Amino acid sequence: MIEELIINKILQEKSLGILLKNRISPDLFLTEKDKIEFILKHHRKYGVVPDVTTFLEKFEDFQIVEVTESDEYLIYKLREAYLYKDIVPVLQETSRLVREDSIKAIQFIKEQVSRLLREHQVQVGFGYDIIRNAGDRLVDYKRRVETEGLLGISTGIRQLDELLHGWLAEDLVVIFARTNKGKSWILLFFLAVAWKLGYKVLLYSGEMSNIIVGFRVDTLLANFSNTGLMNGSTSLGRQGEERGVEDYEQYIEELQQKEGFIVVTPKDFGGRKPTVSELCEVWDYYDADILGIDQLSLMADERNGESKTVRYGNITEDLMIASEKRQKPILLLAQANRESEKDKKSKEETPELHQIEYSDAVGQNATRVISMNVIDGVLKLSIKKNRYGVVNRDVLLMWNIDYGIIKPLLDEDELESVEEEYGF
Amino acid sequence: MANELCWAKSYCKKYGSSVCHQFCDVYVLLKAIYSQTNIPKKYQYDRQITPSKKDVEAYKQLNAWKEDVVNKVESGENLFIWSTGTGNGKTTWATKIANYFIRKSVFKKEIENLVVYVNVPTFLEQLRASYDQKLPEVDLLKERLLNAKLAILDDIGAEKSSAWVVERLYEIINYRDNEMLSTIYTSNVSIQDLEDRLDKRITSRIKNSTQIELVGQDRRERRR
Repeated sequence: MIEELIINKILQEKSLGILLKNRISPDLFLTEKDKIEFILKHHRKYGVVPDVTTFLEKFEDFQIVEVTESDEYLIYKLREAYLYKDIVPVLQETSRLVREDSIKAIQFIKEQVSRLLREHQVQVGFGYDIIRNAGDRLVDYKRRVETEGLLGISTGIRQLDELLHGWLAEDLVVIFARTNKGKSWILLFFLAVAWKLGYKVLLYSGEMSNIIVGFRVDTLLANFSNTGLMNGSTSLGRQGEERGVEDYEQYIEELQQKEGFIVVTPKDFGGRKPTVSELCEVWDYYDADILGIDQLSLMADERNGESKTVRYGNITEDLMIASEKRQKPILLLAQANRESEKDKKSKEETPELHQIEYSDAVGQNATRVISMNVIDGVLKLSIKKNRYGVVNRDVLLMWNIDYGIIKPLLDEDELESVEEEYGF
Repeated sequence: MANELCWAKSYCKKYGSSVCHQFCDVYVLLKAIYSQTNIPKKYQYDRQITPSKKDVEAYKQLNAWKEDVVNKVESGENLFIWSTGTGNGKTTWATKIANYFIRKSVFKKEIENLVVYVNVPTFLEQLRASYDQKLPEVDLLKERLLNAKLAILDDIGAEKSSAWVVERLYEIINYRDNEMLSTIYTSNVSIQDLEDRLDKRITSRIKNSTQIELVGQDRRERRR
């Protein structure tokens, strides 16, 4: 009954507000999922909730009633009903385990309850005893020792991994720069690294076609000249390096045996900018391990915020929730604002956090923010926000995008000995 | 292999080895640094310079300043190289010192606001032109001039003086002085004579420089 009441409320108010504000996905509807999906699909297509007549044409047996209950009550009951479905098998299994070994049973139910609370985002005010649960930290610490601090997907750059611990679950990383600084390239580089490490990758490319993205990835993976590929040149190697059509053919042949780097463009969304929900549908379909978005301004806000600032805030908030829910990282490109272009003093430096275009909420919603600047063949990445570590640290990289060479310049650990070796 | 374009070719132990190519880390860093310095091409590479007898002592002092340039820049010290004659190595020495500073900085991986060079009369002309027509590259050069750790103001005093010129130079020199940023000046006049051409407010900020006079004859003439 509670599901019918929520649907009635949506139809009555002609708004998806109750779902969006409470981060309710259609999966929470156990008996009326088809109806809620119909409403969402209609909203995506026409920008409004269907009216009662349209809805009843599709679901003629549905009971229209007036709803006076508060959102809080309805959402609580919906979540409670969903949790009930999930907790019953846990309790049954616990009951079976208790008969065998009560300690194992307690451990099992403890893990399962934590999982359910996390998955259902149930807001409970029990808190967490950091003293009694100190053991959790020991487990976490040992994991960090084992992985030498790399907890997530490697960035492909050792210094950056040391500062960021890789791309983490629940990570919404905003990478921003002024125009024409090569943001798309650095995103593709990070995604190509993840793919090479065996992770499944999804990229939303708002401007570049699949073919152009593909050529760039070829350049990053195998250092074929991008200019050569784009111009149809038969010479694809560096100076003094013989690489041509046959080498590219051989590379493509080997590459085709693999899979897992999915690119979606506005074409996949009927020629328009996708919303976060639409992108997440694709994300879930492929079950990708990491999502890259090129770029924020080419996404649509499903809440139709009245200004760019509000819309960008809404989109990044939805992305943050999407990442939390899936426990997978998102890398999002954003533009630096016009002020940063005008700011003569900092024109040559990496832009600051407040210089993300329409920035306040974007910076707040991000777990990490990386600013980038390119100075004649050198890429400077500056960590401007890092929820899990140090900030205001820079990493310098060689930046030759024609041959896809993006690598750290002068390894920090060996600086002194290398300086001596070079005779400087 | 040898990367003929490399700025470090006269001193790098790896020059000519298998790692000496356009993808060498040090070369890439030097390229990024030099692209921002505005140092004329011929002064970017090491230039051998032989003193005339009269300048031996001055060269020794200049060499000592060069060898200690990292500390000098760190403490914001200034150098004033002057000579009433021409062609006796003022600009060469100023840029030699700057090149050495870059050599000593490259492994610190500092690539921004390290060194900038301007020929004062030319720069003031460019600055004046940028008032009539927006010239972003001149704005950028001025910003670099204000913020570089080490700046070379070459041929100060050769510009045609006016209230406008004095104000522009004062703005730059005063800012650098306040921020304790190191400056190398070269001039065809002494600081005392500079005061007549410019302004006391400017020269009082230059006076604290190490002053080295070159008296030798024109090297360009000597070569002919």
